[in-house]
Amino acid sequence: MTMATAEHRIFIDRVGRVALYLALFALGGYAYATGVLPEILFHMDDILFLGREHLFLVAISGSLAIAVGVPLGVFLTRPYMRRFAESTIQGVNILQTVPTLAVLALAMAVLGIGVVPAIFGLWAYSLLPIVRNTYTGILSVPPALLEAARGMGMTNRQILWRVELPNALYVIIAGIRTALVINVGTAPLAFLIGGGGLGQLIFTGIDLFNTPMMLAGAIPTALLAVIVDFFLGMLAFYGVPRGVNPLR
Amino acid sequence: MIRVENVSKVFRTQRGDVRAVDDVSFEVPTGELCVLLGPSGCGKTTMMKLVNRLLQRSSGKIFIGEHDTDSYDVVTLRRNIGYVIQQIGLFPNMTVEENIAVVPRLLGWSRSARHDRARELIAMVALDESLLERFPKELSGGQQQRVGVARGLAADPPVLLMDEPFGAVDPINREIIQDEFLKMQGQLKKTILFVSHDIDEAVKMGDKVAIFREGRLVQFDAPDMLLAHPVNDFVADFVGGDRELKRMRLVRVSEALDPRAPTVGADDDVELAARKMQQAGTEFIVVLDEVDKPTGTLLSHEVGGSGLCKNFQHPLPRPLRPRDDLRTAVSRMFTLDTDWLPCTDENGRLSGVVTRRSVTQTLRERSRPSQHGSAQHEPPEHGPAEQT
Repeated sequence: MTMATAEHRIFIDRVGRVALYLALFALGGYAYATGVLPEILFHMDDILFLGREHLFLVAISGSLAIAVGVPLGVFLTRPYMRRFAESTIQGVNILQTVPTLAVLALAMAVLGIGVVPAIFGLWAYSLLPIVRNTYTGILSVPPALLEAARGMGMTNRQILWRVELPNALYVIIAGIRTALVINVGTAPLAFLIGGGGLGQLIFTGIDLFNTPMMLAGAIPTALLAVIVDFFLGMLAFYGVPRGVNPLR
Repeated sequence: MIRVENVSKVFRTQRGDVRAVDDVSFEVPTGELCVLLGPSGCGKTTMMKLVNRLLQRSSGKIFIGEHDTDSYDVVTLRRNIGYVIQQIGLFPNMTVEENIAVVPRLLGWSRSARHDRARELIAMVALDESLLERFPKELSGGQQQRVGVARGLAADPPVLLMDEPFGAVDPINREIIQDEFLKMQGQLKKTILFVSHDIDEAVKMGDKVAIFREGRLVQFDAPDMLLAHPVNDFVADFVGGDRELKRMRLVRVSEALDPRAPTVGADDDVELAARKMQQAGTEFIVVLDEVDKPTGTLLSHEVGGSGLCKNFQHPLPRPLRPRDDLRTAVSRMFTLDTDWLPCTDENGRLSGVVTRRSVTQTLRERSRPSQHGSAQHEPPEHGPAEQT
């Protein structure tokens, strides 16, 4: 029975993938036929240059968000922080409801224009999913594991590194994945405060009613998001120990 | 040895102080297993956690060997006490081998020493070596429980704390694991505190049983004494109305053989058989062949006239083994509707006969309190450790 459903799922999977490829091929054919594709490829040099800028923004703000978010999430789970943890998480939650553009505008108000406020805005916006997932991931480690660990004579540090973090890893990586995908999608707005990136093609394209130019920014942005998501998916699949990996 | 002296634990709650453990003293000699028994909320688990200082006691002292547990660094103390918990608590991110080797790793053993120890232990708990590379989620409940026990034993600690360690498996597997554990304990001779709420488990596993009620130690005794002489109604209720039946599990058939039961040779005359039965005052006699193997039985009202015993005998009821417990014996007596059963050794020779009278007599004699009037000092030959 389970065998059958598994085969069924694989079949649907395969059909879906073939359909996707066909649709992409048809879209490409249509784009070529209408002459849009050559017009998009006309911007190839810009795409490469701005794509690199875009990646730079994402990489810097993303890695800073991980570097701050994971330790912050861990810190909030420590016993002496328990009292403040929930209110802190609520506070960060509220921050997340501020529209992205407003965050960037605020960053510009304080830090001026350029790459730095852009990175700061993206960083602030990526922080929440990472902090929240780290926090809930560690709190959802079963108490029995902690009791066993403590009873066997692990120090708090050993419990954190050998029990809490490995068991929360899948959830933490899921948070990072969400944050980075949002980050890639938000980064075009950086152009508005002088941060560069693929937003330049998108917004200029919109302003000039130049659809191919706009697409030359939008399509690589979307592709970038898919690729980042894919790589983090791979990381979650292969990087998380098999014993705590729901995918394996 | 674990010695607990006037230990109390008070939890401060919003509704006032709660004495979870109230002035408890007892001592578990080296190599013995003491079951902490009681209804939930009686303080038994709290008591146990005071020993490895997962909880800090409010007053009193706890010694392991000759050393006060307070004299150790808490982490060192815990690494030298095996710990097995009810929820098993295997780390899902580690393989079975890594789980078993947690404490050895904390103690800084080399990789190869850890690996050898894991292999040794997995064999000891009757699991296949191939499981070492698996993750806990790939194991059955019973297998996980065994790994939990192996993990507790990994660094060969002299003292073991076990909090309802077999609570998470089905009854059939629990019996099996209990038996295996008793066999292991027979060789390892660890000093063990074992929390349980199951009187049957306590009677089976414990050299001593400590019954708790509302934080107080109500009775501390060998299981047999506990069942025979509960100190009050609470203990009597807790051990159950069938406590005599439970006691029967503690006694081997070999201890309850009726010395008066007569035997006769297969080639002897039935007259001799009749005379022997009369002398012994029994209704039956066991017929033996020339190497003492029972071949059948004769009943007193059937023997008249003369002839060889082997021509008159009935087939024998299925014999017991000396290591069977009395409950098995009595149960079979009921099944076969008989007052007696033969018992044979592994070579099929007759070791004796168990009768209803010998069963009740044995139970009565065993329950006689020792001369000092204190039920706490039971003669060592009655300890269940000797029976395993």
